[in-house]
Amino acid sequence: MKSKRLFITCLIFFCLVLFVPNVNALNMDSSSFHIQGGNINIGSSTASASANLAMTLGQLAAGSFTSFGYVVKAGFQYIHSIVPFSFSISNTSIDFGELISEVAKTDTANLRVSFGGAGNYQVTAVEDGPLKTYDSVPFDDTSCDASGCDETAAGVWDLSTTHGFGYNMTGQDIPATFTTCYNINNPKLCYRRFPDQTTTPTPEPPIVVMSSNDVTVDLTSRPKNIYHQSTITFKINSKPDQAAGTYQTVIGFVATPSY
Amino acid sequence: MKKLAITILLTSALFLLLSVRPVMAQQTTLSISPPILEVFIKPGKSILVAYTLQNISDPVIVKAKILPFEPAGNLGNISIKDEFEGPIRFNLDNSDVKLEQSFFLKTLGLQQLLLRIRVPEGTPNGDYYYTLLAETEPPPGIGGNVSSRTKITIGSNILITVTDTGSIDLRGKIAMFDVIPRFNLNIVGRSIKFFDSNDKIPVVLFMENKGVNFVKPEGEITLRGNFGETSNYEIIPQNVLSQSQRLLSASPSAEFRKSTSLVISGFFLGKYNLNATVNLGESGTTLFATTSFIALPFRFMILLLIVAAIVFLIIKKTSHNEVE
Repeated sequence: MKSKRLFITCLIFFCLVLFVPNVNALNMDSSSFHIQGGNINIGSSTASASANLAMTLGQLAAGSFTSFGYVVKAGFQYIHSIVPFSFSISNTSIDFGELISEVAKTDTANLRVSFGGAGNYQVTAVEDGPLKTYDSVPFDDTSCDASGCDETAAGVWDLSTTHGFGYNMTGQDIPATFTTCYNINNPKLCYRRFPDQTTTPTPEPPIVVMSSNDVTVDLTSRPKNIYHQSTITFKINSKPDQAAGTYQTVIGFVATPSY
Repeated sequence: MKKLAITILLTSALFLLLSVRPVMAQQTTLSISPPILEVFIKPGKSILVAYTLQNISDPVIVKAKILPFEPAGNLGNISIKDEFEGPIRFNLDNSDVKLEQSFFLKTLGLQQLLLRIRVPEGTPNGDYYYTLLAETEPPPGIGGNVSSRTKITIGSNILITVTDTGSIDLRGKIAMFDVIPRFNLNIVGRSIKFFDSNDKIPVVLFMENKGVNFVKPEGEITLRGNFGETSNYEIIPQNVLSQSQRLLSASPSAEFRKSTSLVISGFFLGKYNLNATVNLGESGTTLFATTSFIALPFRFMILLLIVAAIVFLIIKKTSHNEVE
C-alpha cells in the first residue's frame, strides 16, 4: 500500500515536470496591428496621395487635434507595431580581486540591445570619477602604450609597464577606433579610458560605445526581434608605488533608441 | 513497485535539472515601451501616457526621471543634457512611484509608469525634446577588492510639438544626395562618378530641417538605367528634428561598411540616374535631387587585357622560335 502511494506520487510529479506548458502573455498579431498585454496600441498605415499617417489610439488618448487639443503617436511609424526597447549587461560587478603591481587583470561583460527591426540606437558610457579608495586616493585611468589613447581614440595597451584602468570592445556596432588602432589582426589590444563626469570645471561627456543607424527592417515583412551584442573588457594594471587600498568606481551605461 | 517508484523519481529529477534555466548572477536587463512618443499639443492641455518598464533579470532598484536631449551628429544619435529645462511639466500619476524616487522591481517584474505631460498656458509654440529614463542603482561594492560596479539606464524619447493652431512648420532641404564612387573623374568642371559593374552602389541622402518643428520625410529614391529599367526604394519615414540634419534610410538595402542611406547591389552597365523625391508632409513641400554614375566592367576589361597580353607574348615567342 505504501509502495503504491509512493508510486502514484512519483508519477504525478513526473507528469508535472514533463507536461506543464509554458505560460505566455496574451499576444495578438496581424499585418496591421500588434496588441500586447494590457496596453493596447493600434497602429495602421493608410497611404494616400497627400498623407501617410499612423495614429495611436486607445489608452493613449485618441481624437483629433481640434476636438481634444492633442494628438499622440507611440512607436515608430515604419514598424507598424510597438516593439519594446531593451538593454542588458551581463555583469554589474567587475571584480579584479587583489592586484599585483605590473600584472594586468581583465574582466568582461556583455552588452546586449534588443530593438526589433527599428535598429537605430546608441549606448553611451561614463565613469563616476576614477577608481579611488574611501580616502579618495585615485587610481589613474590609462593612456595606453606611448600615451596612445584617450577618451575617444583607442590605442594599443600591451606593455606591463603601462599602468591604469581602461576598456576594450569587440562585437557588433562598436566604435571603429577599437578595430583600427592596431594593424595586425589583434583588436583585443585596443583600449581607451572612460570619460570622467566628475572632471572640473567641465565634466567630460559620455562617449558612445555601441550604436547603429541601420534600420534593419524590411517594410514588407512582419516585425522581428533583432539583437545587437558586444563584449566590453575592463583592464587594470597597478603601478609599483600604488597605495594599498580598496579602489572602486561606478560606470554608467545609458541606452536609448533613436528618435 | 518500490524500484519503479525510485526510477520515476530519479528520472523526474533529471528532467528537472535539464529543464531549469541557467541563472545569470549580477545581470541587469531592462525593457521599456513605447520606445518613442510624438505629441502634438495645445498650450494649457495635459495628457496621460502609460509606459511599461520591465525587469528581465535580477531584482533591481530603479529611479525614473525626465531629462531634455538634443540631436548629436546627423545619424540619429542624441545627447542627453544634465539638468532639466523647458516649460513642459512632467510627473507620475502612480500612487506608489514618483519621478526621482527609487522603487523596487523584482525579477520579471512589470511597472507601469503613468506619465502626465502638462503644457502650461502661454507656452511658446515650438518643439521640446525629452527622454524618459529608468536608471538602476549599482550593486554594493566588494570590500577588500578593486572593483568597478556598473549601472544601466534605459530611455524612451518624447518629442513634443506645442502648437495653438494645429499648424506645423514644415521647411527643409536636401543637404546632400550623392553616391560614394569607386573613383571620380573631373572633366571640364564636371564630376563623373565611376563604379565597376559588379560594385555595390552606396547612396547617401541627408535631409536638413530648417523649420521649428520636427518633420517626418517620406518619399522614394528611383534608379533609372540606359534601357529604361527602373527600381524604386522607399524612404523610411524617420524624424528629422528642428534645426538639424539627418541621414535618411531607404529600403530594401544591402549592407555596406560605412553609414549610407541605401546600397544597391546588382550588375550595372552604362550610365544610371538616381532621383530622390522627399515629401515633408501633407502641407509641406516636396524636395527633389538627382545624381548619376557610370558603371563599366573595369575588372573584366583589365583581366581581358592581361590575358590578351599573355596570349600575344606567347604567340610572338612561338613565332620567333619557328622562324629560328
